[in-house]
Amino acid sequence: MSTEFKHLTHPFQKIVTNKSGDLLLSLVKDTFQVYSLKGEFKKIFEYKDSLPIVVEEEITKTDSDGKTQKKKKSKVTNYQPNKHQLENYEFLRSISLSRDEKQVYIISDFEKSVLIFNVTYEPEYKFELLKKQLFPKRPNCLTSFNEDLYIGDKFGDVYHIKNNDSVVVKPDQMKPILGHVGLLTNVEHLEDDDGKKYLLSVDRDEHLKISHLPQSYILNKFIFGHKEFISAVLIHGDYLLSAGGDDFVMVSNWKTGEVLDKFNFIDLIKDEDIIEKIHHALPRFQKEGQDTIKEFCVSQLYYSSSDNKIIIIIEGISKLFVCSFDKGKLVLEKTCAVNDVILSVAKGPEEGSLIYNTNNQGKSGNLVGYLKSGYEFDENYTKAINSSFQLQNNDFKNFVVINEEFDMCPIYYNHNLRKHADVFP
Amino acid sequence: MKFQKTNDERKEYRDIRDSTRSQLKFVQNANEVIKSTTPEATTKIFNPEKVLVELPKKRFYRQRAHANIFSDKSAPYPVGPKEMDWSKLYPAYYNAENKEMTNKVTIADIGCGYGGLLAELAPVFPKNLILGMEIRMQVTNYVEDRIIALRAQNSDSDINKDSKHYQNISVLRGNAMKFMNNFFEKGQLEKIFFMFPDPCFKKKKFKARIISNTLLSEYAHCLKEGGIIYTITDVEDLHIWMRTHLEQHPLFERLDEEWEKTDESCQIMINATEEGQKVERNKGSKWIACFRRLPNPEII
Repeated sequence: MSTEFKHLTHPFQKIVTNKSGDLLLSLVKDTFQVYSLKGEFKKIFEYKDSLPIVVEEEITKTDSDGKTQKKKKSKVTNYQPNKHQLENYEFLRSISLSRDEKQVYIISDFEKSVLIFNVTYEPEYKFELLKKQLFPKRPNCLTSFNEDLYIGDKFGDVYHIKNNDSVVVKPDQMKPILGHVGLLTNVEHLEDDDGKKYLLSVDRDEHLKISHLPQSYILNKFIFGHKEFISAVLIHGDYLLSAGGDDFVMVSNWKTGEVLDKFNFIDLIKDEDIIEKIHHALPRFQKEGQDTIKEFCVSQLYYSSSDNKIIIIIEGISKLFVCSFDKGKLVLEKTCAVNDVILSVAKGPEEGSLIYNTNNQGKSGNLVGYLKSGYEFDENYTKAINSSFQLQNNDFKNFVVINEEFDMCPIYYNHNLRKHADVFP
Repeated sequence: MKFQKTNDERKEYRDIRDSTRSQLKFVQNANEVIKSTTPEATTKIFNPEKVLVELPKKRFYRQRAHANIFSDKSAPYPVGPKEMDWSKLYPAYYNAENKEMTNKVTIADIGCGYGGLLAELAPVFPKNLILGMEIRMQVTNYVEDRIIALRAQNSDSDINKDSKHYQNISVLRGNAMKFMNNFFEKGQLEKIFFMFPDPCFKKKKFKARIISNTLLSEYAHCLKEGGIIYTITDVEDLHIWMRTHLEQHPLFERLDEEWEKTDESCQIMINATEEGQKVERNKGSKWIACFRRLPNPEII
């Protein structure tokens, strides 16, 4: 692509598509954008999140004497960004669609909140902000089931709210339904054959905890087996796939708690895939006189329903690892290399196709890439979609990245969860 | 200069104890090890007879009374309860033939401090394995030294007949709030003690308190039905906090004062431990609350 089109140099940090694959919901820096994946890839909706603005209010007071006094009082919401937050600016963290696709949930760093959007389909797609729910601590993960929304935060607590209620609950009145003592990386809603409901909560301290719902105070079980943090989980029927900083993807049965398989992915990574900045451990964790320590972690586990395959995405790697999954065993089927580093994958508009977002730092200049059925790169489609996206963002100056450290939100954040327990005994 | 002297003295004492401990830590009878070692090797061991006869001195092990429980830099922990190797901690209860433990840990003292309760409980429950968990390094070392000495002093007793053998107590450095369930299986424990925990006075620190709604669910998981949680503190605010959280939790039921008077371990907890005696000396008040684990209600 020619450089004159490059208005959007910030990557999409997260993308999600709907089940039919004709809507692309994306997060860019502090903005939520929706594109159609049919026709001319038109931008349908845009929402920019921000910190609350300080409003100066004039309060008129009438004294007992009948004199009126005018007082200027600055009215601020209860939220005040601290120095640390202003320096490392805030962004939108994650996005997900409800199961019936009538709502969109976005986790936002601004005011530590979750944004709930209502989606209406007739006659055309329309997005409407239902509420911005603030939380006492920074939310990090979210799952929804019918009317219930479960939010896990960075402090280890899980909160429950109703998604159709537009009343905003005050953050200091919220009570957690369950909790860990550590950063939560994932929550998932589970349901067994008898209709009993469970909540899986995953934390940085290698715990996979399953609790009953709505009796969240009764713990069902823990599933042990990980030695490093867990950053990605996938529920596939009875099976639970989990991965993170370990060298393997663990397959377990969440109903029985049995660990079935550990699929080692570390050998799949070749020398040419390694990017020093991402995969080499920091100098203070390196040991002198020994080989450089390289660290890899899984950023997404994706289930492709059209061909019944599991796709493993490893942070900072420009390859897709396509695995077949049968009776709890993962077997590598195909490695699909593309030009850019893949951040995440989502379902594409055609049957069996995939769409992925890139780090947007490569030579190709692609924001997103498109893979046809059979995991083949489609150059024409990718070109068309990228130039359309670039054109529609030409008046946004804040999406231009001049200095990667200051202008870009972090896109490789999972490897920072590693504890390096051997360095700190 | 005075401080320099005490520092040097402490360092010397600790070094000697450290080298002794590293050799005797996981040993059933320390006397036998010392007998079998050659004179050259014993030079590093500080006056073995004295180590075994004399209990360690607390003043050399003092450490700040707070620990950051959210920190990653804490002790090692097993991947899961099945991977936990108890044979090192309780060598007398390890069956080398089938490579299994004969007993399981059933009593846990979370934040055991200098191990006063462990030493008191050991003769009362000679058939139960008792584990103390402590997050502070120096304090854990003290309890380890204490157990080595207690075991050596009572090396003649039989674990099946006598009550005072101290083979049934052990200590472990770890973060119970984070990794309790990595050590114990579902319903393994019969009693859990929370004795004089860190009060965490600031509102910001409330999540670091050892009792909270969310953590109680995890304790309830490893406590068997009818198992008992004992709490004692000298801070009234903390007592109210612990009591209300336990009372509000659907899986726990408060035990009345009559029960407290008849329960042996509750009386030991009140009167016998170091922290308890310290409170008594300072004429402080002690607040006690004990709770029974109720069976799980029917799952909806």
